[in-house]
Amino acid sequence: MGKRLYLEGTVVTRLAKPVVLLLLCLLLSLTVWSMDRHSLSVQPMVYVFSYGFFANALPFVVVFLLLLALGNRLSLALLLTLFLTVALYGANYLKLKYLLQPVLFSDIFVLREFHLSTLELLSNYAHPVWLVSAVVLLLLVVLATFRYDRGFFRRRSLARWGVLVVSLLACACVAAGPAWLGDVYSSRRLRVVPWSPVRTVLHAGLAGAILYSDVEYANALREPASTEAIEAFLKLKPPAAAPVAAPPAAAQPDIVIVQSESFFDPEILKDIDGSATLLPNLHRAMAQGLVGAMKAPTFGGGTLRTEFEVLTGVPMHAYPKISFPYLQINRRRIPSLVQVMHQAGYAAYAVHPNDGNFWDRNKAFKAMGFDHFFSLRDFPANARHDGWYLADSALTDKVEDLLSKATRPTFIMAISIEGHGPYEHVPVADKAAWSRIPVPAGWSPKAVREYRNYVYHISDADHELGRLWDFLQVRNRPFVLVFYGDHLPGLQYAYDAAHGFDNGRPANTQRVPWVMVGGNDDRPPQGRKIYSWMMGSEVLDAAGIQPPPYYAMLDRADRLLDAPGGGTLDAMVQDGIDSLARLYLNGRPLPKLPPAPEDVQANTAIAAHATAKETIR
Amino acid sequence: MNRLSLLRLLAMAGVLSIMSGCGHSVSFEVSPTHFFECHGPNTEVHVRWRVPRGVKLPISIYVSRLGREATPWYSSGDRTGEQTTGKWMADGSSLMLRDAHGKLLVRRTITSDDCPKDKG
Repeated sequence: MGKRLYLEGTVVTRLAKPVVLLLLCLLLSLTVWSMDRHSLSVQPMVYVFSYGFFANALPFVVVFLLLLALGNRLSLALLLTLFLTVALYGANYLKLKYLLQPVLFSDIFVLREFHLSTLELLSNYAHPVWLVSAVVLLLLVVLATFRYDRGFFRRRSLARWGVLVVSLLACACVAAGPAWLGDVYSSRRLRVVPWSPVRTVLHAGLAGAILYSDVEYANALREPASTEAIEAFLKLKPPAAAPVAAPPAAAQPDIVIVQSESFFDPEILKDIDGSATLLPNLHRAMAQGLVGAMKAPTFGGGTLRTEFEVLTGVPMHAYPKISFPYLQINRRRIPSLVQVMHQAGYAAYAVHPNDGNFWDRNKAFKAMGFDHFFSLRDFPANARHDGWYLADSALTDKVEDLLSKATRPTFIMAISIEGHGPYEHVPVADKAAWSRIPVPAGWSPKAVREYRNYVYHISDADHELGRLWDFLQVRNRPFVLVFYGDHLPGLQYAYDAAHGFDNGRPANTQRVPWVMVGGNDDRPPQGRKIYSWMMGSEVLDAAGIQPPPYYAMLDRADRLLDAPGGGTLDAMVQDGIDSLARLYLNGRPLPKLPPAPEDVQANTAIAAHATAKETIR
Repeated sequence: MNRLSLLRLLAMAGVLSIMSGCGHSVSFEVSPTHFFECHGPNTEVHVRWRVPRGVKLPISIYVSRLGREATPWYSSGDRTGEQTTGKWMADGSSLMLRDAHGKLLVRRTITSDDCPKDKG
């Protein structure tokens, strides 16, 4: 079998050494997986040998091989790797226990700013004596292994160099996040569950999930900004904007944006003749010219996409590799409407009666700068339920409570959830109201049930729109109230039963209604078609807040859409805004807006006047 | 392969079998342990248990959704029995059998797969 050599005092053949290494790697992978499952408090070997199992094991194996190649001590490499593994999974266990959230890639930002207060914070979760003992024990083990363990590789071993180079290359790949690594750590293969970080860890393992985020982070934002596209956009001539009339500080309106789950007007369905009795407040707004149509970037789900566009003004179109912006944009600071509000002197709150970790909102809203995010745990235990989740009335209660306690102008982003599907079996609290919902004759029982279930919950949303509207009107404070649907619902039967939509287009291309009440009324929404990324500039305009440069660009695109023949974005506007959004999100300077025609005239007159004065002198 | 390597492999197998929870006489079967999410993300699970005389009664079955605290679901003074959960078991949900002292005897976690196209 070849030359014999020595390993830890035992005789093995040359071939046995790689076999031992392979078996150790397998054992390490199984141990890591066991710890992973333990930190999740699930059965020890659940999902073992799945794709996620191997994806999770890979980084630990690489670290083990790297340490082995560097130190040339098998036991040392193994013990150090296990120590790091225990530290990682210990942190994961504690974070899940206390924060109900696994360790995330974004936690790296906490470590980047490691200082005394961080240590103090961490010491609340893990006893410092244990940490110090672990470090001392580790040092003793390191010394002992160098003293008693023999070298694993022979002197000047080529294999050692090979292992070193391969493991270093693997580390470099993780740091750089090349595109091909995205195929290995892809959401489909790992079965990533975007709205649930903990379920992603269940499928992909903690390290697999972290590496997935790392690769996403490295790749998703790599979209080039085109100077040509921006220049072409700036050459377009939109209708002139009315000057923004900034109100005095005392008259700054409170601003409430309600993003209503799956809200649309069923009247746009072919077989539905009227919705005034179902949605009286939407029709009340329509009658006053306060309702437009908005293109949301998603259909049937993916609420966070519309929410992201509204809050940041960045079109999802600008980042085609991003499907779940809150998860894929791991930044400490995300430029947003919230920061504009802060600069204008506003307090800014987000309210959503669901788990704050859902879609990673806790992290994203912090990065956007909200003063506080009121999630499910901030609602009273007896808050009203309807449907699968908390009722929209509970959300209105919270918004009203916040406004009642406000001591300065307040911006609230309220995200509802009552209207969430699936609709076929969604519970309804008021069966009598449900059975009164009219349905065209001839629909199948499934379509009838699904339609009534859906309409029942959006009727509640409409009722809450009216309630909030009335509340704001009697407060004797100026206000801007915005209400829109985040997307159309993914109804399985009702669309077909209704023979589609009045405009003959498919469900996923339909627009949702947007309502804007209060504020200056020089550009009422009625009949205006906008995109959800324009909403921020609409709000600033209505509230009389001077738009920062990026929002001025969005306003320009909005006005181009209003121009005769507008209504859909042409490629020149979309490409220009996409490139500007990429500059904006990456914190790079934006080009200056060309002066408006009236400014040009004024500047020319001033220049002529100055020249005349010079001549007189 | 020499004797020592063989011994190492056997030791590893022993460790693995301990880790996978073998080696005790409590029986706690759940069915299904794996399901396709064709009818939504939740499913019902049938539970059957058998505990030996050494286990102090009553036994309790706790349920924990992934990332959430475990809560008691069912308690029984019988050494054998079976029950069916509601349609609230999801991917990663665990059922835990505990004795009268609250000691964890067995944990079972159910898993899921996306609905295959031919079943959807």
